[in-house]
Amino acid sequence: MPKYLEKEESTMIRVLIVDDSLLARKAIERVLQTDKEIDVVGTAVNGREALDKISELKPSVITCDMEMPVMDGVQTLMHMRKEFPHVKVIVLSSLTQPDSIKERLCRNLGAFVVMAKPKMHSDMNAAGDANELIRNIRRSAGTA
Amino acid sequence: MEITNIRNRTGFRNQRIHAILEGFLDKIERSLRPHPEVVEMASYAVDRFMEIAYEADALDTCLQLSRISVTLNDMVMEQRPLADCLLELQSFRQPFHQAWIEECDRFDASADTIVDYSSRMNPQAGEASAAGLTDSVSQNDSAVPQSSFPVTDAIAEDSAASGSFDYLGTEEHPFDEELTAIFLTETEEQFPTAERLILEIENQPENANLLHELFRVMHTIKGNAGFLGLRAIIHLTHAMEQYLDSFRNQESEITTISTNLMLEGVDAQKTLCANLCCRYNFLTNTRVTEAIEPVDWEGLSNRFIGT
Repeated sequence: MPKYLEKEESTMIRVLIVDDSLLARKAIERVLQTDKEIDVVGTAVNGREALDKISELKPSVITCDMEMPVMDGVQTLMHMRKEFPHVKVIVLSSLTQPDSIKERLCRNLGAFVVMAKPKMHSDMNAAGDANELIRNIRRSAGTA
Repeated sequence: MEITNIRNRTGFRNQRIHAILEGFLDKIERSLRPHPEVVEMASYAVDRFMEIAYEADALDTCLQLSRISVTLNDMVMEQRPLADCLLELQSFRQPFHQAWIEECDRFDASADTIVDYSSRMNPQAGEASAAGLTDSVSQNDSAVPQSSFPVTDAIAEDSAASGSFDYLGTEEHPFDEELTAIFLTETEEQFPTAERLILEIENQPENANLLHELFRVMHTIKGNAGFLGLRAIIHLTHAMEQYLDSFRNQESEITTISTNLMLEGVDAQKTLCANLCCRYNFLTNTRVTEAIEPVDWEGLSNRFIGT
């Protein structure tokens, strides 16, 4: 798309994707790329890397996996509360039971929302999952 | 006679399907008792090819193919003695090949007649391979293209059976090469770790950390499979997770029977991945090296949950 037609970067929602799986990072990036107002500014493989990158990349929202080595989702949330309280965290969980203790903990620790990871295959839910993620990102940035 | 664009809903290249078909027919000819699945797949390939040939007005090829189709059907339905069918098949091969070669010369004229599925993903690749294709057409006068046991449109049936919905892709969600490649790489990395952990658990059944690590590996595999909707892998891995969970909660003790079952599970996961790899290679037109091996993932899963 020619530069003059692209949306100005200042109005785009800056998102950092945090997940230890390359597939997950790619898949989520794909989903987010479908929305013109969302800008994936970077990725990180765990919470530690994410915290290091936030000051440089300045995302307004991060998507965060729960299970990661070095620093997992819960620990990341705790650090985010202290260091970057203005950055919203969307926790993506691959757990099958919807309301496990860990997820409630995440919400208590200030996660903006806890949701299931989006599916990329074409069945009834795929578009729904993708839209839900985008909707949550927009809500978190206040542009629902 | 104007050759119009050949559009085929799964986007196979004409030459490729010809090679595939020849591969199947070779395999059938070489066996005393051809595997019924191979015969069925060959039959499928013949029908596919007939559609293409018909649309391209390659009527002589169609005629030869219809004879082959009848023979294959007889083999599938066991209408006639196998030996008779095999002999008949053998006699049909050369006329079919001949007809195709002759009618190919007409296709050679325009690259439009060949639809490259990968060109929908990557326009540059499409042009390159169409160019490469016209070369291979002229070279194929004498030699029947060789291919190791490849797979065909019957993959779609197998996909439904092995649980990946629409994995060949659809208009809205085209087959995603990149994600599939990443999935295969990431998941195949996990298997040696899983096996190592299982063997270590066998030696140290009380070590809770090992169990936890193994659970994490299974969870990673399941998560990755979830992105691509690979139902068989998801279902089987979930069953294995639940099985491991029962040990974590100390509801049961780990024995060699348990570790053997886990190894069986990992084996099945490997086969399911290999099957996926096979489809991936086929759809990305790289050399297909393995056959699709059916896996009774449902039965195996039940053994994990049942215990």
